[in-house]
Amino acid sequence: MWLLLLILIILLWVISVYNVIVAKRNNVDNAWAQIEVQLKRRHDLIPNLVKVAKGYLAYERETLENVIKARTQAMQAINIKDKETAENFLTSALRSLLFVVENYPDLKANQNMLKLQEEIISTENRIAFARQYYNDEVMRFNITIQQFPFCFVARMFCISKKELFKIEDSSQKEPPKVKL
Amino acid sequence: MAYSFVEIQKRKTYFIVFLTILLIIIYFATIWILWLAAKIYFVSVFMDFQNFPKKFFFPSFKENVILFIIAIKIALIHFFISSKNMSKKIFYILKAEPMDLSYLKHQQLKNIIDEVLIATGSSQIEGRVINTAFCNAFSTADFDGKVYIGVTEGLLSKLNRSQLEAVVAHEVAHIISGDCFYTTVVCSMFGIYEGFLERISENLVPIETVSGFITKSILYCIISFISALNNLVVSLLSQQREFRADAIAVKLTRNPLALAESLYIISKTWRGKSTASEAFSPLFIVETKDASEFSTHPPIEERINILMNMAHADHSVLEKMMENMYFRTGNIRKDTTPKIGGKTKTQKGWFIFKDNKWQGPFSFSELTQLNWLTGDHLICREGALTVKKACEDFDLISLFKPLHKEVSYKYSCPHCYHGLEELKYEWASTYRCPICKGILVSRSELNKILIREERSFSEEIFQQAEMVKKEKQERFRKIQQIHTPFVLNCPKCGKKMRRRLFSYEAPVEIDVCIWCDIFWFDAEELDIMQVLYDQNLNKDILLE
Ligand SMILES: [Zn+2]
Ligand SMILES: [Zn+2]
Ligand SMILES: [Zn+2]
Repeated sequence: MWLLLLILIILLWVISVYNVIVAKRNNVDNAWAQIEVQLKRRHDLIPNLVKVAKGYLAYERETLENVIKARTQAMQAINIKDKETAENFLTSALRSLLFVVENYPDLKANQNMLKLQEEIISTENRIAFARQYYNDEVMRFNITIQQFPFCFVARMFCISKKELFKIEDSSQKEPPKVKL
Repeated sequence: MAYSFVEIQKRKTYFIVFLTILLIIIYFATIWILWLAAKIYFVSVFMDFQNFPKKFFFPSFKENVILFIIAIKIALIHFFISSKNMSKKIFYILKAEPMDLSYLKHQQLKNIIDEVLIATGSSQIEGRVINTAFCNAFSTADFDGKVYIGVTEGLLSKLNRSQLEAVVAHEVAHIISGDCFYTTVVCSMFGIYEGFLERISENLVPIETVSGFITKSILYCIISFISALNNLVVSLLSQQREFRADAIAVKLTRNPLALAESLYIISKTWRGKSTASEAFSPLFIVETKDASEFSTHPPIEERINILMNMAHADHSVLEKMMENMYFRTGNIRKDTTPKIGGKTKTQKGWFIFKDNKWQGPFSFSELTQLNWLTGDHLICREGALTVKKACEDFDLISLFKPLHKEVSYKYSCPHCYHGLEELKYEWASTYRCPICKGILVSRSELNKILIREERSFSEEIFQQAEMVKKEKQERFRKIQQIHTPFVLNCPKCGKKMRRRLFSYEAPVEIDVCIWCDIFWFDAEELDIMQVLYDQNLNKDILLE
């Protein structure tokens, strides 16, 4: 009788702990969804960007093609590791394109280009913020399932640690100048 | 983030109860004094004051209870009325408007708000813009949970992207910590009425008549009384909230230097002193009044110092940035790119970018035959280096005219009576005559044009501006000698417009209709005006 009660209590405890872990894991998943939304936003912007820039950048074929190639790769990537490398590649391709644009005053002054440039910078910032939020959630989750009572339950249900999403920090911020 | 939802709700309830009690006390004291005064007045006029029992004057217990109940009722009604549509009323007084997303800077503001929201994982915030030259930003929150962030047009033109992001993050921090709600409620209690009366007195006729003088002085007395009450309730707010918001903003953007820079820029410019915004000083990122014992914000230097410490940066960084900024506004707007293929030299033909390659050259008559050509096609003149859209080419506009022909003209030119075409000048709407190039613009749109720094001007405009400055004295003499200053008819209402100089600092000749508050600039005068405005050190004097 007492044994039954004890098993019942343990069972209830396990369920409650499991719920906490699942709630945290859902937070992580939501944060990841946010990153995917922003990455998709970036992928959707690129065809427009190429369309606007094409007319002006007749002699910069290579840069444009690089961007398109990087986009296709990024869209095909499935797991986090692949995404990391593909998105980093896309970031650098985009950066070199924006760098090239600086040399074409007409293109730089073009209203559509200015709008697209703003959208791209905004998207990069959104990705950075979404990643920041995701990584914070992952940290919280990982710490939770490593702690003493939680780690048993986590192991019982085969819940493993989540990976951080490392992407090159693409925001335009200058690093703060260090006082010497 | 910092607090749980339940905790915030609990604190809100305590706060509202506390504020209501304060209101009741204020009203009870006021009614008590009024009652006493009424009694004394009544007795001294109708009865023998000397022999009257003094005990009569002080309200009895029963009277006190009645007065107290009246005070509670008035206080509750006051609270109920004031707490409804708080943001809407504040926007009305500050003249804050929704963003115009076709203007890139406004789109940028919207983007930045959305970006910062992602970092917090919270819900929608709406943006508002105040069409004024002063530099400040504020946030409001309503009882129904709607939140807004407002930025002035002046601030938008002065800050770069990361600085603006820092300011938005500061306001978002107020919103997620719940501080914004308290500030809005407290400011709504008396600030709304102060601001409202302030706006009425702004629009009142100048003090020339005796009755005008009396109304103005009575209004002034009422405003000072309400302002005193406003200062009283506003002093409930803790100055700590600004440090807290600064800290959260840095946590969100990880960029303390940008926030320090923007605070520095705001502190060195006009922050909204002597406008209706003074009534809502606590709502803003930097207080609009001068610092005093009633300050609702901690000293700005202290905030900047904390942030500079976080950034491990020296104060000289800020001064350097400020110098660069003034250098930028002074010089970058000069268009130094040499004009290739100007209007005088007529090029033979045009290249057109179609199917991913350049085709042509085509002569003008050939172009008229091309039925696939649209205004959206990119074109390049033979021998020129510049590429532009076909509809932007000066000589080709006529080809695409039929598309715009259905548009009926709203106004016609006061000089040539041709219809005025709508023209977005720095994203403000103006009307331009295609023949004489004169521009019709309302005061609020002119405000935007002067504040924004989107256009650059040719060397000739700068030279003409120099001339105008040199001829200042002469111009003023001349304008006073005109016998008939009313020549042109207002394109809007048809009444005569007055010819005068815009202001002492910018003596550009304009025609103004005082009924519609609308200005007519002759060709290039608006450009010259902008150059003069930029060169003026305390340029904000020109506005408002
Ligand atoms: Zn603040
Ligand atoms: Zn005209
Ligand atoms: Zn008029």
